[in-house]
Amino acid sequence: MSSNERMTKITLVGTKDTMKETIEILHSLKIIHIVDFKEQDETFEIGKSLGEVSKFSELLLSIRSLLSKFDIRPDKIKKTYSQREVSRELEKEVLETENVLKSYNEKISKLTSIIKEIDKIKAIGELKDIGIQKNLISSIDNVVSSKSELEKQRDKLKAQMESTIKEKSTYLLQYEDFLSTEIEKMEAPLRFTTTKNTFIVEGWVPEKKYQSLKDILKKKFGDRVNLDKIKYSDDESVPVDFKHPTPVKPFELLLELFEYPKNREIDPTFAIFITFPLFYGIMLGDIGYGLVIFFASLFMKTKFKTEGWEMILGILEYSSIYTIVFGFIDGEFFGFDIFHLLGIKEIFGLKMPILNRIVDFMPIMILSILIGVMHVLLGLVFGFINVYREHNLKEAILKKGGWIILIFSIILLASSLYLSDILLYFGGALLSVSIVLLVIGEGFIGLIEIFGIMSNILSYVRLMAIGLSSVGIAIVINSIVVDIIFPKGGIFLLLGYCVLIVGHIGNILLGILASFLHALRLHYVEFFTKFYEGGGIKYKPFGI
Amino acid sequence: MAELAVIVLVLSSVASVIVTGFAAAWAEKHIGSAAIGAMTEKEELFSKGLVLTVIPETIVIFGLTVSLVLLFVVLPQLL
Repeated sequence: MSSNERMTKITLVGTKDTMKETIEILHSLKIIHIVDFKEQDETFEIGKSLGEVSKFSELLLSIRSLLSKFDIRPDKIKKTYSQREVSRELEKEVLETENVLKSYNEKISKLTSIIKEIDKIKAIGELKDIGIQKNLISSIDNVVSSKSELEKQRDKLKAQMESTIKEKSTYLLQYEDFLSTEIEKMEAPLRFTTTKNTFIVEGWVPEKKYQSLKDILKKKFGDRVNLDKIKYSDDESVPVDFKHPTPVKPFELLLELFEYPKNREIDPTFAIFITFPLFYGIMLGDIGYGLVIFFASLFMKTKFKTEGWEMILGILEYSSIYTIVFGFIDGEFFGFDIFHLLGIKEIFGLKMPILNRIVDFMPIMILSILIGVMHVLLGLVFGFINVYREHNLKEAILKKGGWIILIFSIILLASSLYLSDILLYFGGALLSVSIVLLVIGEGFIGLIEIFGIMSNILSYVRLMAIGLSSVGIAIVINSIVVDIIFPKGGIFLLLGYCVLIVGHIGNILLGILASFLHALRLHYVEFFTKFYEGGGIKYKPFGI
Repeated sequence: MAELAVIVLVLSSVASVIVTGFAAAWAEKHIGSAAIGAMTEKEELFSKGLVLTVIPETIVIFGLTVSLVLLFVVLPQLL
């Protein structure tokens, strides 16, 4: 499960004359996560940027303002330029484009204002009866007649401007891309430590790539640049480079909102991938709502292309599939009891619907609590492994083992109500063992925490409760429309459909939000507190 | 005597929803305004604020559970 790359902390020391080439190499390799240097003193200070950054950034700024002003969007940028082209020519061309576009813009806005003036004058001309001089009226008519000519000219100018923008846009986009990487490279020394004749880069690289980086640098610079592994303390934040398969990827967002895992900690993303949509589906559980969310998120994916949106829509997409599945189990389609309405009593010998959420809330509540027990238990097992990795087996048993045994004893005690009394004795024995472990491990405060873990488990009842409220609202909307509004007939039919659509849209929005937040809360508050420490940072290699 | 017990039971189940509903709303009101306040300082806190705001909803969920158990598990035994 912890398939993420191991990171090594490195320092790279070199003589200053190799700095530029080193930056070039590091930038093209895209593997080093640079740690910014901050505390300077007499010998060590922050490096100075290479070249004329200010000129470059001014240029970049004017390109960006052109891009945003004329609404040029990056599609696929082809890298057709070479490095030599950046120079005075580029600057000249950017300025020229800027001027051309500006002059077009000015002319167009002038023409527009003139056309507006003419419209005003036209209004005066219509007041012929108040006795304006005749020659004045004829000149007004003259001006008015030139309006269409002016409009034609304006349209022509607009078309010309459009074609110029089209012609220049790919070029502008390319240079925007190029300049921003160039500036990143030039400003890289601001993140380094420098002395009089040397520079030092501190950072992280994936352990697997360390040797190849060392070889490359050795081949290029010989002894003038030196790369070394250094030790790091446990409480340093280590960058995390997730290596998840594509389906699991969106769920990294939920960790990003919380905190990235610490270096040797279990990465819970895969567990979230399984449980999050499950909880979501249990809470929302409606075929119609699931379909709406599924297609809405598919549609929004084509509109919003930023990484954050893609992740959130990905999560919604997976969750909506579970929602549809649980919709079949609950037999709900926009709150209607679909199997009952269609007259389907059973499918493959199974009574349909398998669980009606209004009538069978008791079994669902028990199921929710069982899910809660499993989920908290999973969290505790993760915690056990974490403590075992960080310390030793004894510590793990004292810190987390006590809780695991406690949960098992609760399961035994609860099932003794239904099965046999012998389980009661086993449960009691386990309970006393766990209490002893808890007192040794966490002191007497551990005993108070028992109530905490009970309320954690009971908190999963929300899987039933949120679902019940969502179905409740849907049924209320349906019965208002079907039982009260529709029987009146006539114009009320239209009103009925309006109420149905607005009501269900509202309920879907509420359902998306409530189910999402409560599923999230179950993970953050009930699950993560059992094992998760966090404190890692995102792996951002230099050059991306 | 049994009638009195039924009345008390129904009233308690009503009270458990109403009171916990008000409690959750009251808690959420304070958390919500604090979250909005934090958001004006730092906009990235929106997601954390949103999650924090739903945390006290547990209160009303427990209330609902208690009321359902009273009505559908305990009440039939009295009748």
